[in-house]
This record gives sequence, C-alpha cells and structure tokens, in this order.
Amino acid sequence: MEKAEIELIEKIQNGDKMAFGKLMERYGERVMGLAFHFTRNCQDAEDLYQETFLRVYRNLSSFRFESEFYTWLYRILANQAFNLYNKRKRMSYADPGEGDYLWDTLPADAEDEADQATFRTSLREQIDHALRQLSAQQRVVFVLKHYEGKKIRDIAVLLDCTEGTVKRYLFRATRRLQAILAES
Amino acid sequence: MPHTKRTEEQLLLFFYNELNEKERRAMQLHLEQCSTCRQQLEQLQSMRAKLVDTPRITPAEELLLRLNRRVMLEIGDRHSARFAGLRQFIEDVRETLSEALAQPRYQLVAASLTFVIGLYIGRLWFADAGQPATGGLADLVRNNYTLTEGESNDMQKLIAAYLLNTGGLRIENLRPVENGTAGSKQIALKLKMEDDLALKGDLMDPTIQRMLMYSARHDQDAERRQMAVQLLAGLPQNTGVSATLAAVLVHDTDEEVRLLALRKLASRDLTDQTIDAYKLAAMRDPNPTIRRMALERLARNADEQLIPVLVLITTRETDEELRMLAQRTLEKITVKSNVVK
Repeated sequence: MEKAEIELIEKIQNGDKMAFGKLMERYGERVMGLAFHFTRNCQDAEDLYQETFLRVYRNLSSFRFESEFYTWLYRILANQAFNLYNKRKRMSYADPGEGDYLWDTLPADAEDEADQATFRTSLREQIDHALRQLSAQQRVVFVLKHYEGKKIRDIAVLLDCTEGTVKRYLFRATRRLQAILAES
Repeated sequence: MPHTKRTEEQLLLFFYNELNEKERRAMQLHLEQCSTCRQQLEQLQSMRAKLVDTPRITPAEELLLRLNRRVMLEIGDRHSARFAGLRQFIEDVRETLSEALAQPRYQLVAASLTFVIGLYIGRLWFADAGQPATGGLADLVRNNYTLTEGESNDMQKLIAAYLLNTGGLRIENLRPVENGTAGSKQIALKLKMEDDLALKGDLMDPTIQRMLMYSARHDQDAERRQMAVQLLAGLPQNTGVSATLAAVLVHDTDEEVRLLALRKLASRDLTDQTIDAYKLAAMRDPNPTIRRMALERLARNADEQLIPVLVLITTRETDEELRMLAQRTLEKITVKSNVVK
C-alpha cells in the first residue's frame, strides 16, 4: 500500500473525519463505476455507493492493513450489492428463479430514452436486460471478471469463497448471457 | 484431447485467459481439431464484442461531490460536508468568473466578490458556533447556490458601483418609489451596461480554450462547432483537446462536424478515450466514410484488444468493403500474435 494511503487511513482511524472525504475523492470514481455495473441502474448505483462508503467508515477501525485497502473496499461493495439485490428481491411480487425482473419494471433512465434510436443504446439495453437476468452472485462475479479484469483467484479472495465457486458462477453467468444475447 | 464436458470448461477458462501455458497450448491444439469448440469460442468472442460496445461508465464530478457530501453529513461531519459544499461553491464561482474578472477592468469586481464570499464564510463560521446554521452559505449550498434577493442586491450594488465609476454603466432611469411603510421612500435605478461582455484572447488562453471546447461540444450552430473543432485542432497535444474531439466524433449530430473531428484526431496520439471513440465510430456511425476512416485508424495500431470490435464489424457491417477491411485486420492480428508466440 502507498504511504499516503496508509497515512490517510490512519488519520480516519484516529477520528479525522475530513480525511474520510479525501478517501472518497480518491476512490469515488472507481466505486461508482463498479456500483453501476453491479446494478445497471443509476438510482440503485447511487444508493449502493453511499451505503458502501458508510459501511467503510463504520468498519474502518477494524481494518488492519493485512490486505490492500481497495480489496477490502471491493469486498464491502460486493456485500452491499448482495444486500441491495436481496432487498429488491424481497420487494418483488414474484421470484422467477434466479432472475430479477423487478428491475425491468423500472423506467429506463433519460439518457437511454434520448439515445433510443442508436445502435449503441439498443445494444446497451440488451446487455442491461441480460445482466439483470443473472443472480446477484453471477452478476458480481461476471462484472469483476469482465469489466474489472480480475483473476478468478482474486475474486475468490474478495468474495471469501473458493475458486471453484467463482468458476461455477462465472460459467453459469457466461452461458446464460450468451444465450440471452443470442436470443435478442 | 477429446471433446468432453471438462474441455468445455477449459474452453471458458481459455477464453478468460485463466489457463497456464501448458493448458493453453493443449487447448489451442484441441481447437484446431474440434469444430464445436471453435464455434463456441466464436460465440464467446461475439458476446464480448457486444459488451465492449457499451460506453465506459464515468460518473460526473458533480454527482460524486453530491454523494460524498451526503455521506459526510450521514457520518455526522457537518463541518466537512459544509466545507465540501463551500469548496465546490468557490470553485464554481472561480471557474465561471475568475478569468473574465482577471482583466484590469473587472479587478475591483473580483475584489467585491471575494468580499461577499468572505461575508458568507463569516456568517457560516459564527452561526456554527451554536446551533446548526440556518441561512448563509449553508443554505446557499443546499439551495443549489441560489442567492437570496438581499444577497443578490448586495452583490449587484458592489458590481454596479465599480462599473459606474469606470464608465462601463449608464443610468437609464431614476425615480423614487414608495416601499409600503408610511413616510419611507426608496430610489429605483435602472442601469444599462454599455457593452455586452466580450472576450478576446489567443489560442493559448485557457479561457478561450474552454470556450472553444464548450462550443465544439454544445454550440447549437453546426458551423460554429466546426470552427471550434478547427481551432482546437491547432493546439499542441493536449488531453483536453483529444477528449473534446473524441466526444464530438461520438456525439455530434452533424456528419461534417464528426468528419472534421475524426480528421483532426488522426494526427494526435491515441489515448484510451480516443480509442473508444474510434471503436464506436467504426461500429455505429451512420456515415460509411466515417466508419471506414475510424476503422483504418484503429487498424494502424491493431492489437488483440481490437479483436471483439473487428469480429462485430465482420458480422454486422453492411458495407462489404468495410467487412473485408475488418477481416484483413483480424488476420493481421492473428498472424502477428502467432509470430510473437
């Protein structure tokens, strides 16, 4: 870990709340990008972003510098994504297996509507739709692999599970996405 | 290696670049013999191509500031939250006005503004000593920086006093008005600025550059957008300019403007952002000339990263010449990659 990062975390652990603002400035863009990939929905991504940083703040006293700070942050983000997903699932009326169709009932955001005619948007809609069909675990693993380029062993450490489990989620997610995108 | 369930899993690991050297070689050999796996791999590559085509997610700075402010408030640090807002407010004022006000003519106005902002800070500071602040900058920040009528009046008076002294302002009307309280009179003045605000500066002037970047991306007049692109292209290698040209290439509705942006980008170094813009243009621009030029530019520095895009073009492009170009580039990359291996 960088010296500046260690000092920043130590400051927060010693009660300097202003330093936490700097920590958010440092990681905000990456966390938001990933939050959006996890949720494929702007409002949920904002909620996930805030919940993640609040959780980071509340648990930072237990961070012992035994892993990279960003790995620790990723883990919290992934756990919060699971929580959010489960919350959404509980709110949905029907549970169609591993899918989460509740999100499909939400209106498309303004940017999507503006771009509707373009090839990119239709493709993006297909991908949004396809990703929403995955279970939370499949989606998180798939996003970490595809968009973050993480190795399977790193994802396993991050999600605190075995490499075999990660592979299983990744394989299922890939096959399912392949099938959905091929249909569309 | 015969085709088994395990081979299918190995193929996915091969696709995700998760095999060791020995396993990878074995899979390459298997692929040469097994048409089912080759077909599977093509489908996987096609899926990746679709995912590559989605735009990169970059949250707006304002959004992050707003969310960070909320988190700071939530963790009970009202000071930091407020000062994050204050920093943003001062930054906004500075960005918008500082360069215009830096001209000698407006220096006093700048001093007045500093004074007014200072007043807000003072009010916030003292108000915070006791109960949570109401009014002042805290409210200003919460209300999206909207000035109250009184504050706006104070600021206008300061600016008007200066402009009147320097001859930039004339009095158009002057009349006494009743303000509703018995015996009390106020004076209403209507003031007219002599000139509209106009800027002049060379291309290296940061304000001029910012205006040109704004014009290139947001001007309603296509000719002015084109002119702005033309002028910006005269600047030396500069990330801001490349990003602007890339944005014009992807988003502008006028194909002449997009074409010009593409031509001007061609002489600049490739960045992640410009590569993304070329990819999008090559895949979806309605104008085949732009698609072709974008593809040619990408092909000049073709590497394995480009494969998904090329696969997509070879399967979806309607123009045969472009499909062939994509195919040739794919073959070139494959040969290069085999030579390296």
